[in-house]
Amino acid sequence: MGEILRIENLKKHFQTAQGLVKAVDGVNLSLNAGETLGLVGESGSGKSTVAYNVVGIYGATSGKILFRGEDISMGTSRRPKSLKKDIQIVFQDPGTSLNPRHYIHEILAMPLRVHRIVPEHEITAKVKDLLDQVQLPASFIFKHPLELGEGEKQSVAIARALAVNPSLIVLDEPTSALDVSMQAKVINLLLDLQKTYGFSYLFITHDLGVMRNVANRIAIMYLGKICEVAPAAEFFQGPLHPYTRMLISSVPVVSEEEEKLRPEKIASRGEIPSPVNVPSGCGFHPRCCDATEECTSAIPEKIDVDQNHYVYCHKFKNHES
Amino acid sequence: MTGTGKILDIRDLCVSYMTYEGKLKVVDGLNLEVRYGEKVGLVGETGCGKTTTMRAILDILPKPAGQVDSGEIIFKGKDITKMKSKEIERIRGIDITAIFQNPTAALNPVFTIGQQLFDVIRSQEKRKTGKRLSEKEIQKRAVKALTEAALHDPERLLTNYPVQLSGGMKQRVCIALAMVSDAEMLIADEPGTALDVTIQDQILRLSMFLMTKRNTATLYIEHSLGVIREWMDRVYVMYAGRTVEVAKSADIFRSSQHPYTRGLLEAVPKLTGGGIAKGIAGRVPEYIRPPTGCRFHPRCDYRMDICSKERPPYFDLGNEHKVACYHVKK
Repeated sequence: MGEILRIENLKKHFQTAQGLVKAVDGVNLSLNAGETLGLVGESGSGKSTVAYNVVGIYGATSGKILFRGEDISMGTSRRPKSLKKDIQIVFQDPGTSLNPRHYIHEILAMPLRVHRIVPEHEITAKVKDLLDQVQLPASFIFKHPLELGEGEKQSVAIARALAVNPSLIVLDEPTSALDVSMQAKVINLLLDLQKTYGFSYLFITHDLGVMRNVANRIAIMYLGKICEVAPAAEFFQGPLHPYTRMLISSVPVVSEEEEKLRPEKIASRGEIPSPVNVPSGCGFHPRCCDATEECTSAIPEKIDVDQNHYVYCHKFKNHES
Repeated sequence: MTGTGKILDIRDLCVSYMTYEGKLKVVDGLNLEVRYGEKVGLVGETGCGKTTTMRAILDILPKPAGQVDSGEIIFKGKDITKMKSKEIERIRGIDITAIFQNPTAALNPVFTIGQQLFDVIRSQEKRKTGKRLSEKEIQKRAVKALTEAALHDPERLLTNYPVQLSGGMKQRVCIALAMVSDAEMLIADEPGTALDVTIQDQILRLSMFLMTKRNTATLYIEHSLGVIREWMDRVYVMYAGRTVEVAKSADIFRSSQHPYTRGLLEAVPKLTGGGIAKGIAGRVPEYIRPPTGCRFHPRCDYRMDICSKERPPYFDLGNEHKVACYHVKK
């Protein structure tokens, strides 16, 4: 399977009253066709900024985003229409991403009209078909978002992304506003759709349990930089970066088997610093239990541990792959 | 040390809201008890009546729409539902305190942390002993409370406004606010939900450490089952206004019986992988016309004829494990 998305040294800086915020500061990632790449991090780590850059809500400050080899690092306003269609997004809170004054019909018909997916007289049939694909009854077309449950609203948001036959869908915490039971339904829906249409997902979440079950590969982000990238199973069996270990050991689990997976309890400490004042060297060093002098001064380089597993941490410098 | 006496005993509580569409019986026959020094979890989906229960206990239901129809909330031998508001004022915030879900909404944005903390300390002392504290003493207590909540540089923090703090720090301030009264009971309504896992972990460890140190009884409302497993002594599982299963927290994860509890547990994505279960079909019912009999029966895979007709009583499975389900009885 070929590579569909490649992010090279992506930077996105914002000028604010407090100073320059380096929300994304040199991110390298790649996503293969049909694959799910999980992007995990705390709030403020820049994961949503990466997503918005890919979708084109922002243009990048520097760096490249290659979609099938074509650079799309400029914002959507300068992208060709066909490219806009190929990359869709599902936002975190369906309560705010669906227009409350529109019927579900209008919400789903809009992208069909904009991209001329089907002729006008077939739109209603197509909308019903989309609802069917996300397992909602066709009677929903004349409902407002307010009349729907949270899970149903998110399904409508997914249907809207489906409408234009994209190849890459960016999922920005699609289930974090939902209960576990609803979350399970939405995730199963997403996995089914991926199986049917072969979508590639850039799946952003802070829930590691979800990530384990959805993603093929996982990337951890902290303060605008990548810390560790690994295949999902390997990621949980042998987490390397101290931040990854801290994250995994903070997850409250429900079974004894899961407990065994967690690294020795590392008491999480400190909070993610303000991105205006990023610590020198490795951004994680003030919270890291293994920090050395080197960590405070030098920015860690990429270290390949395995073919698909790499980590940005001084600790593994002498690691032989 | 967990005493055997009950600090809180809720019996057959019914709470409803009047709306234009009719009466919503949100809590309908809830039974729950918390013993002295015990940590009790209350889990359920959104819309199960968890927060309504909390509000009924603290008598902060949105009035006049929300009201307690019947049942008793006995706190230390006295029924809260029959108290006058003056009496409740002597309990709320002093004997029972609370931490809310969203620290940003719980703190007033136009007052500094200091002003808010001083107010609480001043008013509590006045209600408790009728005395007025000196400003110096109030300041001392405020600093102590913030220090206990593991906040650095408390003196400077007192002059900060809530917007200047991060979510985790705000929740710590809320914990400090809840702690200043040395209450015997704390009700926490999903205090970690709005925060990242690492911060949630810190908040939980902090609040549990303080609770254990002071031997405070805790009712912890939560929808994350993992949190319950790690920290609580006993768990109540709530569905559509009723408790459907109660057990020691280790038991509920090892041998849950109620189909709803099982569905919830299966739906949690596991770190060990293996895919995600389908989740429970349907959603929490509308409360205008809730299902008859067992309120869970329309979503239940094991429903029998009797389930839609009669409300299941609690069947005792021993070792404090009780479940309200006809299927389990069979």
